[in-house]
Amino acid sequence: MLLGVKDLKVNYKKVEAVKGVSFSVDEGTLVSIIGANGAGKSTILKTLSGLLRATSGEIWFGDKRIDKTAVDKIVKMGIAQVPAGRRIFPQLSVLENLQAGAYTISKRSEVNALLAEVYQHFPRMKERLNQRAGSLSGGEQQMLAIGRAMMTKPKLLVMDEPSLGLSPIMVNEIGSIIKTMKEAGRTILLVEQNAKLALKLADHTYVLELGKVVLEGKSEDIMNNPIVKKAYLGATESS
Amino acid sequence: MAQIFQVIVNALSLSLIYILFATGLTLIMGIFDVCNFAYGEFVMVGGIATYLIVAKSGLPYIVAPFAAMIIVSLIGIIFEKGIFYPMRNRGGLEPALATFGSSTIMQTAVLILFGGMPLGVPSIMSGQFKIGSAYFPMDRLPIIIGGFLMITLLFLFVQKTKLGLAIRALQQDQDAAALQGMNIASIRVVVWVVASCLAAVAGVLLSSISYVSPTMGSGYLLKGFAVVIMGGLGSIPGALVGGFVLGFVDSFGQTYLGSYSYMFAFAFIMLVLIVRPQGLMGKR
Amino acid sequence: MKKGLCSFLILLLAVTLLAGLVTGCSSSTTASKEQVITIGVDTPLTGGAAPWGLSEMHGVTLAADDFNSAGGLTIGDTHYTLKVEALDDAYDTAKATNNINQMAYTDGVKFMFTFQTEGSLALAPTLTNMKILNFTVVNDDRIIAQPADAYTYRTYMGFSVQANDYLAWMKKTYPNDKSIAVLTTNDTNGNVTEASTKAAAAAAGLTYLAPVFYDTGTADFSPFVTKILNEKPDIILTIGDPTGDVGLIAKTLNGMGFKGIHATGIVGAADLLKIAGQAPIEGMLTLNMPLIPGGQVSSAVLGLPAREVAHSGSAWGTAYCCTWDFYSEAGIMFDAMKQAKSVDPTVVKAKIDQSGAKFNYAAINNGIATFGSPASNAIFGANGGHQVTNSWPIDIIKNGKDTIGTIITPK
Ligand SMILES: Nc1ncnc2c1ncn2[C@@H]1O[C@H](COP(=O)(O)OP(=O)(O)OP(=O)(O)O)[C@@H](O)[C@H]1O
Ligand SMILES: [Mg+2]
Repeated sequence: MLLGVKDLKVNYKKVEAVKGVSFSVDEGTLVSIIGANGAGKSTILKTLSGLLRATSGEIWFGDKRIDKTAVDKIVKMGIAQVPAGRRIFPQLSVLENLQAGAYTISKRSEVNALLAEVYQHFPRMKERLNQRAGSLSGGEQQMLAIGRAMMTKPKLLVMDEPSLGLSPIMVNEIGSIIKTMKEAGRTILLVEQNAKLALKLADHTYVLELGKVVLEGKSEDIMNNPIVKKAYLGATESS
Repeated sequence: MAQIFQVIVNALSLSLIYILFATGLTLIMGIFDVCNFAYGEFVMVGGIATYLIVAKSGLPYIVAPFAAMIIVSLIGIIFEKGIFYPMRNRGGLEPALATFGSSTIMQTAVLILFGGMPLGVPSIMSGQFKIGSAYFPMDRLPIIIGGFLMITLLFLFVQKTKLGLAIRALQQDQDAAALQGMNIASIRVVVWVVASCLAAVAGVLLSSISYVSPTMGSGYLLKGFAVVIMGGLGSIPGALVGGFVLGFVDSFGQTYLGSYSYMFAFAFIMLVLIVRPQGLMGKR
Repeated sequence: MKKGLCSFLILLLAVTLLAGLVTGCSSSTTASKEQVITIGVDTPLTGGAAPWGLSEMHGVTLAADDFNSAGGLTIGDTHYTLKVEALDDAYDTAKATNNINQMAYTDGVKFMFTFQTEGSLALAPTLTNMKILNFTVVNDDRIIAQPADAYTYRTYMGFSVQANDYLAWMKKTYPNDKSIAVLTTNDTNGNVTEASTKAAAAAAGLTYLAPVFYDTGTADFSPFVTKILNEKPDIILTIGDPTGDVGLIAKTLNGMGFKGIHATGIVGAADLLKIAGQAPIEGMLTLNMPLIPGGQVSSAVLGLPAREVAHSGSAWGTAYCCTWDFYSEAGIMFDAMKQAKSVDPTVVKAKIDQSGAKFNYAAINNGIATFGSPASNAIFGANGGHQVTNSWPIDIIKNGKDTIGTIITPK
């Protein structure tokens, strides 16, 4: 088990947004968390990275407990997050965004190796190295955000709704990139509202509702669950 | 017509004064999204250091900028740890008010320690040379050289180093920067040290052509804000361009329009902001 | 976090109070037969005009000390001594207005010295209504053009009164210099300088060139100096400018190769020397009194610098340029109190208004100050009695030091 979350509770002031969530991610697997708007998905991810503090519960990364660890330490330990809404640095160039990702890595050769790996996944980035990141298309920005996270040399890659706001074609492209990354042996935690995409990619899926896990299991099982079909995949059935 | 040349020489040195003052200010305002009303006092402390080192102790001038940088940086770190970091999630108003209060405290402290008299500081260079019919006063030369040097160093630091990249990332998105493993608290301290060093050098150079007094910095603050806003908040090239624009507008205005120049300068800034609300070099 | 701000605000308050304690002081204490009269002083103790303000605070305080040590004033069974409360207006209208109001309404001050032009002008009617005797040094002649019963007197030879003699002396002493231009502040003070110089230049036969005005707070004088040098004046007059500005202007004029005469007002060579260095101020004309023994200068003012240095307290320990001037002005007020045998401002005012009254002018041996001389009446007509007349010096800076050019005794 690479990541273990036990009975996690997170509050915004008085409001409890995450009400006792447990899940785990094994090395080399792709786990997804699906849920509607406001379910608490982003809150969980921010807490994983240390941007928010848990009110109670435990977060374990490997054999280290990290729920009190500082953000930069968590990144150095190997958790990289592709935040919701991409959050690339719009005024920096594409290359500078990637270099920012490699902030914790001091060896130049290592940085170059990482850059080569990113270019391999995202050949489009290589063509646009000196372009201002803010002027990339939405899909390209998402690719850059993923590439930037890869530059931190993570053991666990956490993605918050990479499909958000993208055209169907782009969603498919991002989907296949994630699939390739998984096949290359990366451990990935994927958070999505697009349940169809998540269930297709993930080995194991958790369904989050109002801050609680209401269902979990192998993605195929979840996909065939009648409630999930109705609530999360309904739109796809009618189209 | 020879006057034009003199006015240009004046404008150049006035611009560099504004630029020196504005770059540190824009750095802090751009990154922390807060007006630092005490920035003038940072410059003033740089002047006080110059007075103590050069005028009082008779040490060589070259000691002044280094001592000033150390002292002002310490004050900057106190500001960060005492005001800006603890208040970072509380909007712009409270820390701004705190800097406003600190500005008064610093002025009062200096007043008690040194009195209200203008404290004279010798020029770094004296005399003048004549170019055609225009005079170039030599005491402006250090301003021009020092100003360009500081801005070049700042530019190289911000554009070419890893720490500079982190500062720019931090400026655009603090959480995203943290997610790249950047230690926000310590990068913030770096920003303060850099801005403080700029203020310190500005204080040394400004006092060398003027004099030191508790209110010497607050006199520049309004013009400094004007340069920052005109150039685009947080933009270092903006401070550069804004400083030159205001320096030239001021110099020409003061020579040819006399007492209306102040009004003219600010009318010009308003015009710039109407045409480009984000400032000359600001990005939307 | 809240606590942090709170303690910060408390600290701020503490420092502000402390600052108040240093400059101003609490009101008078009363013993049964001992009474202390508070003399209020509103003046710039900080900023470019601070040398004047600190001079004023020192001068008035030392004059009050001398009044007290000479026995004070005994009326009936009450013995009166004087105490000085000085407030800093930083040469700022709003602060000056505040300070004067505070002294008049809150502190119950009955005798006052004011400095700042707009504040003094604005509050003169108030002081008259409240019957507070005020001696002021503002250059603006409107301070004199008030109702005849006004309680404000100008105890400084305003530039309008001095301009004719100053320029005539320059013309006589430097016959080769033929043109004059004014470089002064863009405020009422500067406008008075401008108007007075223009009239005096015509009278003295000097060519009057276009004046140059600058905003107070200017740090770089190059544009203004460039502008004025473009007119090629023989004499540049910076009268009424704060000391710091005069110093910077001298430095900038020197940097741009000005070889003519730079004439200014009551500014000490020592202060200019600190700001500009020796070469830029060499040959400058000022209206400062060189404190050199042996001439007409009284021993009382010769002793002032040593007393300023020896005096204990914040803002003391340094001798200022113009302390002699304010010492002498305060002496006029205190002498009037003595002569009137009263601490009632209305009675003291009546003494000042009495025709033929003469008061001690301490700066000069056997010096006499009068209100309403032929010279001031010629300028101000019926209001001439609100303008003091006394002898005054023209000073030439040589080797960084003040030396006497002449002492002018107005008719
Ligand atoms: N900064 C905040 N302050 C207060 N409440 C917040 C804050 N951020 C989120 N919340 C609340 O916490 C709950 C969970 O929000 P969260 O952003 O984790 O949801 P999400 O599952 O990521 O939703 P989405 O799919 O829309 O991104 C919501 O009710 C939201 O309103
Ligand atoms: Mg979310």
